[in-house]
Amino acid sequence: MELRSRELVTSMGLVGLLALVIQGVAAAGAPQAAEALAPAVLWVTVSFAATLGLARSQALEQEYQAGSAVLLAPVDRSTVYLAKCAAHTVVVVALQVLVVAGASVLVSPEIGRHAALLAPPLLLGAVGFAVVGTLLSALALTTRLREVVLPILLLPIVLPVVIASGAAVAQVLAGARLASLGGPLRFLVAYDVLFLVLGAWLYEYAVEE
Amino acid sequence: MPRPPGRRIPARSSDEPLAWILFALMVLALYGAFLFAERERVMGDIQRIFYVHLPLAWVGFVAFGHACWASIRYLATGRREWDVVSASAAEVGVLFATLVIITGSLWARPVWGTWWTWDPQLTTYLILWFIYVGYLVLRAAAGDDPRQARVAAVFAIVGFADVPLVWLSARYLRALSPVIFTSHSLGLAPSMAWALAAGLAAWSLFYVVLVRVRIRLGLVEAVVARAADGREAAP
Repeated sequence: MELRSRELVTSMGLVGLLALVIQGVAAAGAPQAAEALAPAVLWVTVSFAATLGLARSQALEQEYQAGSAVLLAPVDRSTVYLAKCAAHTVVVVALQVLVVAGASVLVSPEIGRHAALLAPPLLLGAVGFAVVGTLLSALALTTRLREVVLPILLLPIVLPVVIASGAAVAQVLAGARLASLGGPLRFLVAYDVLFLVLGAWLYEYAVEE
Repeated sequence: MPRPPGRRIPARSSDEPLAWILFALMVLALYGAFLFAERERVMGDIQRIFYVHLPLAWVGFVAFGHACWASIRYLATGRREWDVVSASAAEVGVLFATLVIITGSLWARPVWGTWWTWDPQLTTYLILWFIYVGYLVLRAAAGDDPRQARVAAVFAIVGFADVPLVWLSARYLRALSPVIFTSHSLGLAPSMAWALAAGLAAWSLFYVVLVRVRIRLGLVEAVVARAADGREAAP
């Protein structure tokens, strides 16, 4: 449905670009600090736009009762969880591509020049965000506060991803090669694997009626 | 009054001996912190807040581990008593986490000239506080049915798994908190070590007493709610 309408990626992308504009305007008085602020700008933008997108994705599923239909399928709940994680990862990566392109223009052209080296930390960060966000958005949508409570739950949990990925982005923009990013990248892989396993176990309890 | 199946509500009278022991230990801990422990050479008397700050940090972390353990037991057994334990541990834990952040800032300002710095220990505790608060917001928003207990249990497990990861990732941030424990020695003079031990014992017992009271209240609330449901369902 998202491939047909592209409603989610479009709205997330617009929110992301607007967030870049606001941060760009706020930092306009200190252009020399743009490169130093780039990791923060990228991850603030992606965090808030992706949180909005995850909440909307789950809400759309409830609206069209697709969630119930999927849960009726004769497959393990953990399989459903993994499939949703994969779908959400694709959406977050699409958002990151838009944000990196926008930040290259609005924040610093160095971001665009180093896009290839920025891909591993950003991609691993997207996986971590999607893995935790899929589980927590399922929790949040069962409450009466729905989307409002998702940022309160999600942002503290994904902070390690933001810190590690942000550190790797800063190193890349300072001229580091891929080989010297080992520490943050290994941490991101460990985080992704841990929460993938935890999420596959706990998802059944999160969606149980 | 009908009792919940499978768990006796702890009697109030069994808390009294604990409360008296707590009183004695707390007096000992305060004596140790403010009078017995020798004055720290570099930071002076402001360092004495450490004998409150560190025990609070220890207990705040243990409380969240307690909430996580009770959540795992709830998901495994489905018994609401474990949900009451988890909620009680989290409510008391958020109090301790708040005090850790406040005492940490009060210590940091005169020593480092700033109320806050993004070092691993402080960052981890701030995120732990946010996770605690998120847990309580989730419980309040999820309603009163068994789903609330399940949803809260899932988040408590995820949150507790996240805390060591926050600490590990915060290594990429600069560290200013003093390193006390080395692989060879405690790094404290004997009088300071005794004051710290007394503080750890007193604040740990304080947590036990508070959680017991809160669990008792939670179990009574559960019994009253079940009785009210039964009365509504009756023709």
